[in-house]
Amino acid sequence: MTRKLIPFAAAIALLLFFIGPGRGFLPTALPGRPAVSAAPQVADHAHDATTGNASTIGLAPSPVTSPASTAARVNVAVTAAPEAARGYVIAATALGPDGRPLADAPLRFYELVDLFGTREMQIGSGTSDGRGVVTLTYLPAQPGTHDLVVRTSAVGKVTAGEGRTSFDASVSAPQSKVERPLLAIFSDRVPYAAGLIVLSVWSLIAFALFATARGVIRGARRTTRKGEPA
Amino acid sequence: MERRAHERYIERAMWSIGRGDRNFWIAVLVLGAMVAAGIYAWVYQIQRGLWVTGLNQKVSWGFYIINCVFFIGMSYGGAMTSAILRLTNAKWRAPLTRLAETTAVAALLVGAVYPIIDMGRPDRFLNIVLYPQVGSPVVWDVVAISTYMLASLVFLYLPLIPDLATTGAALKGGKLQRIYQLLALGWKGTPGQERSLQRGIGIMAVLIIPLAVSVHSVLAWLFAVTARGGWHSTIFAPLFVLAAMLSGVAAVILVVAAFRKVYGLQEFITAKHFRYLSYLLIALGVGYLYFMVSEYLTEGYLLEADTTPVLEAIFIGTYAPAFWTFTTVGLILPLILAAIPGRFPIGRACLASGLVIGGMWLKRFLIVVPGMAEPVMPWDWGRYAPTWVEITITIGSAAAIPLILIIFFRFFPVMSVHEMEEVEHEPERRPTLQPSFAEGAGK
Amino acid sequence: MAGPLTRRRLLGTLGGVGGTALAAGWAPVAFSMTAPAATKKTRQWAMVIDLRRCDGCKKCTQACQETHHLPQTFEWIKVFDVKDTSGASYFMPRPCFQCENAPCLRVCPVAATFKDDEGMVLVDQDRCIGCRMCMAACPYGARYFNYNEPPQYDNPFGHPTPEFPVPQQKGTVGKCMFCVHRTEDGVLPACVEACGMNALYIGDLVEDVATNGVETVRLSTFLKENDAFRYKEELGTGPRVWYIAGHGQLLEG
Repeated sequence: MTRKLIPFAAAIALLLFFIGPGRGFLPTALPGRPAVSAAPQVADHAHDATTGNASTIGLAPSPVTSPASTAARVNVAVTAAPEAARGYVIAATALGPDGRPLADAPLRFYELVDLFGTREMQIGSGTSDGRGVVTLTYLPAQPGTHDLVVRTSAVGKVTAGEGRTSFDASVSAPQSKVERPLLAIFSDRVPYAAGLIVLSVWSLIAFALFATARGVIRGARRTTRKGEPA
Repeated sequence: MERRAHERYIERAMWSIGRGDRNFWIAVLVLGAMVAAGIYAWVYQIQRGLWVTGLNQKVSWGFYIINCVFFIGMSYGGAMTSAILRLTNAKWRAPLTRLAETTAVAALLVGAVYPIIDMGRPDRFLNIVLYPQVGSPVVWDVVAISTYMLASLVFLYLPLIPDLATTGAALKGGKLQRIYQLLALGWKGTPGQERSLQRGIGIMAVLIIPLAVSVHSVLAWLFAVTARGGWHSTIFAPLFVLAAMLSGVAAVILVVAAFRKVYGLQEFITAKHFRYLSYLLIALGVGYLYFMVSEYLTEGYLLEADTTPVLEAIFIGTYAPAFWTFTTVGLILPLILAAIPGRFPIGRACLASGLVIGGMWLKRFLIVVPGMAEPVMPWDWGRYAPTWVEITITIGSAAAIPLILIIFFRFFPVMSVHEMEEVEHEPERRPTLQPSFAEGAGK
Repeated sequence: MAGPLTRRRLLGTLGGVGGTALAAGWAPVAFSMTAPAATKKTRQWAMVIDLRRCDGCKKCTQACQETHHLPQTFEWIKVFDVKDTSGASYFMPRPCFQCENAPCLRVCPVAATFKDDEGMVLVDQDRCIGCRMCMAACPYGARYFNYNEPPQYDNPFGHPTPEFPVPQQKGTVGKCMFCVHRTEDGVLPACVEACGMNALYIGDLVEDVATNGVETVRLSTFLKENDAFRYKEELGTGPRVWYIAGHGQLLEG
């Protein structure tokens, strides 16, 4: 009879497992962001780069356009830099509303940061070439996800537009170290050595006082040879 | 020393004990009034806060820190006269040691109170003991001063033991005699007891010298570990130690001269003592001059941006009158006075010592105030003028030292009998009585 | 498992399996709960002051005094009127530099001055004994002593804390703390917000970003491109405040 209950129990277990408190550990697949561990891929891309075949890390989702059809569009692609230590190459392509490249467009690159609210931090700028492309080498300060916005201002009849992307960075600039001089380690310990000396001095003083007192008191108990009164 | 002189010695040493004559009470009243005024000023300050002083945001250390360094410096007389002279086996020290050691303790007690007077929250004084940060010079200060105070008290007490026995024996009876006998620990002068005592005193004499050096070095580092021009100098610790020794010897000269006159010790404290003390004074004074020259030459040669403003201020600026007064009247003149042979050796030694003490106070002022007033940022020089609170507390604390001495010598001999016997290699002596003394005892 | 099925055994089996499932489900949550919360960032605050833009209006000083209920003599951020060796005259605001190697930190006898985990040097006015050693040690004159009774204020959070030492305590030392009581709530420091010329930037060394409320820049690039310097660098204090050299040249009119 118990054997028949096992599938029933298993069903309850699975239910609790998935919709119960165990939910928190399900793989987080937020929409639009592939959970890619870029570390091994960067190495691959480094190889690919020599053949000029760098594959994209970040997606290029549909650019956000303004309602008017005269707005420019920007496609943003992030790839690893040829030398891994230099970080990433952000290639932004400015396109007109017809999809043709927009030359001589002033492009500004921003990263979204959370500092007293969400703000846009400018990380670079450039003017697009004949193919509408501006590239920027970018070494982020921290690993993790970075959200980018690339904007272009109006060029001729084409109005301003922007493009966004996100990418996961595993290469980042070396952290600024806290500058404590090396000797501080030594000077931190010296006072404790001094404390030891202080303790020994106090014990010497105590010895001088109490040993003398003891010696005098003891000497007083023994009668003197001349038998003098105290 | 022949027998009668020896007895006279003991008599003079104990002359003041139990002697409550009119001069004594007048002195106590006058000094007591000054001390009371100082205490009143301090209470006034505690109630209202430190704004009653002349301190401000730029000059945040003033009279109180100056006085702390000054009075603790004066306490070096004990270490110098008692300890160093003992270790160098200078026989002439014998009648002076008690006065020197007591002055040291009194000056130390007064000087050690000043950091508390200076604190913004004296009610939180225990925080230093509860939450000490061992890297702080203030903590070093507290440790060094308390250790030195303990050592000075022990160094005063140990040679006092035989004299306590003598004094106790000379009393007729009563509670006072019991207290003396208790404190004397049953001293009889046996060889065993002598050995114990000599060992104890010897340890303390050796210990108190590095302790004394450490106290003023730590006080110097309070200033020298900051980045202020004129303070961040490597010579500060030796400079302060030498200054303290100088003011200590000067204080001993003054105290010894005063008590010699009032308590009639002329037979045993002679011009010879003052001549020798003057030699000490001169040696220390010349050494101090040398240290000063070294510091100002090093700084003045390069005239770096951070040290030049202070140098300018003390040589040709606002503080120049004080500085040159100190150098001429407070240092060079006394040394000349003390050095030239001639008449009035004691008078000259006293005048020189008085000038040295005044000069040393001025020098501490010239270290603290210009260092604080000089601009660390592009703003004007700070200004400092003490208020009546600071001046009254200073006067009260200065009066406290002779007050402590007078009261102390009401109960204890003003010269060390045992030490005199030690240097004269006298055999065990019998405590003798003078009728007048015995009658006056216990008052 | 042989034997007749009793109610006890049924419930026991169900309970055992269910319990195991629950445990299996809760465990990862329990682990993630003990892991540090990813939501609160560890900042290392820094400031950049653009001397090309300061016009010496002292609105920063005023805002600081109002925010912290300070007496008029307390200028936790103080604007200096400087004339340098080349003859240029300009204004230089000086907050507390929150030094990495702070002299005031080392000399406090009771450790009333301490560094928090954001690198900010704070003062615990409940412990301060008012010895003013820190004021002697600070090479920038950034500390202020409450000689007098400070202006009273009813702190809505109850007792003043090192992060928000308002009201100040008499007989203790106070100084600028980069408004950590505001930054922990995501609000700009009072001086940065009040600056009409947007000359004060508050930034994070970890994320390498700084903002003056209007413009946000990459901190390291901003410093490098504008030849930023620190005041009295040779003292080795490691200040967290950089200055962009200038003499008010970006002021309009």
